[in-house]
Amino acid sequence: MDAQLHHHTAPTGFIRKYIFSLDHKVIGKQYYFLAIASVFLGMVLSWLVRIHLVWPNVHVWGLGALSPAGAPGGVISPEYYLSLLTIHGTLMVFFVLTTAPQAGFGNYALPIQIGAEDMAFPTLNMLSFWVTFLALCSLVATLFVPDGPPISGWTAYPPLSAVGHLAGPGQGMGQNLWAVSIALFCIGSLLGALNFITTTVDLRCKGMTLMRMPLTCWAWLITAILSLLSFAVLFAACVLLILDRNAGTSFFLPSGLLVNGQLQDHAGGSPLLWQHLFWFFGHPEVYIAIVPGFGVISHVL
Amino acid sequence: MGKAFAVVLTIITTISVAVFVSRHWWFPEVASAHGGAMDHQFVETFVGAAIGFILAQLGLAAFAWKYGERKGETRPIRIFPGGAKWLVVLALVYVGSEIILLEFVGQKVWAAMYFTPPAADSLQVQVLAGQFAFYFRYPGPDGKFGPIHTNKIDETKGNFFGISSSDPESKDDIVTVDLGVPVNQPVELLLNSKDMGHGFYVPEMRIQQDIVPGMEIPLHFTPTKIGRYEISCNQLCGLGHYTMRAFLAVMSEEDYQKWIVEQASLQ
Repeated sequence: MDAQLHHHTAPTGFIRKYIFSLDHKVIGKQYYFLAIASVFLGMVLSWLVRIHLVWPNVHVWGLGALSPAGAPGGVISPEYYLSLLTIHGTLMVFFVLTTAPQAGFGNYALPIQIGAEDMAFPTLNMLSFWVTFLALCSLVATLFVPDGPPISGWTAYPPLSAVGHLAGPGQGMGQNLWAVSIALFCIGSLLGALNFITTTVDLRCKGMTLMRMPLTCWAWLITAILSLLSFAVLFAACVLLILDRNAGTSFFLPSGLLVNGQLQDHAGGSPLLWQHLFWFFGHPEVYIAIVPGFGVISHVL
Repeated sequence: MGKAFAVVLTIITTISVAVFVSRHWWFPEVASAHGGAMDHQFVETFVGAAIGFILAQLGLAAFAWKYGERKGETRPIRIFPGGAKWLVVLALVYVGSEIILLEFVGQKVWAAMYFTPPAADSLQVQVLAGQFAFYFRYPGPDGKFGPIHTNKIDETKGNFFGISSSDPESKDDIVTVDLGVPVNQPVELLLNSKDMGHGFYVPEMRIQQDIVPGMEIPLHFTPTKIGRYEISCNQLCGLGHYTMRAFLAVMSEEDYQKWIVEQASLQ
């Protein structure tokens, strides 16, 4: 593989060394810190959810300033509760469970474990991380838009997610940003999956046969194949959702919907299509989340 | 270290199993004809999983107890004779056969609920779910439902089903806010949604069905115990989802006849 023969001179300068680095270890750490930041934000959101369940009328310091509409005076409204749990779920499933085990630990350790110099496509690797970072920015931005984050849950079933702002608070700009965030995340994951598969297939050093490969590497390979197959479908679903919301299409919306007293002029679609597309991704996703962990355990034990 | 781990693991395993065996937090009492078979399937599945769980955890605890101390360990590491291949094969066969067995056994209960048609004398009731309430429509003496005109739905005027006065089948339809049914009478619900995805969930009846807009989804069951049961929406439908509920009132035949006549007079 030609990637192996191009020896780069060591980068100089802070930006090339730590921000837009091509080195797999730096990128692995960047993914890891992204996951850590996401897990802390997701954890705070889960605290707010639990606080609301126990004390529905308590004033939460600072929340009124963050969202005057969703939490007037710091008291979490029912719709803001749904927003909080939507972003909590999305952060945890995508930005923690999918990034840390695979992209975080995998980018760091895979080349080392198979005796490769770096991943097969270092520039693509860097791009994958920054696309994922943009996805996180888009998701966190939903917390700051006037109408708030979406209320449709991390599974975003239509028609609730597809009809638009009529369906409830957060279903306007918030849901659009959510869909964009997930679409970007899919792109980052797909590019990363390509990288993992190519690296494992092509860049093993001499003598490192597949059957000699550590189980962690096998786990990352299987996970990357799953990612390649499932994130592509989720990406398609997100594109269709964005079109339904903004371009007047009706992939997920049947005729005769009466939302907030207004008859919608969509026709011909079905919410079941989103469910099928989403869960075609959703079931492999839980394996994507856990299989790297299985690999690590198998290796360690 | 190994011994302490073995003890803790055994305690956790025992408590976990005891929680289920004691049925301290268990299902509500069954109130429908098919519910018993469903519960039985659940218990069978739990028992099957529990056997594997107990064997695996206690096995791990036993090995940790016996070989878990590092200090003073002089035995060389031994490779499992023949490699671990037969152990992997055993695990695959055990897990695989358990899954396949569960599928063959479990599908009988599923098929009995979903692939058998409703009884010919079922009481048909149309359900309309919308943000954030359920409404019910009985066909009346003609046994037919008039069409739902979505553009005529007006909650302020009490026209929940979008009934048009020009449709002859709608004339004797009875719209209610409670779902009243006589006990031991097969019921077929026709689930509709006017806006979002909703859910129809009555745990005591062991029935649950997502309601998808654009589809009329049938759901049949036979209530066997008189009582008032909560119907909750269990598919996130918007900001009022947490309040969305109705009540299933299972009554004696005489009480039901009195109730339906009273409801008809309120139309």
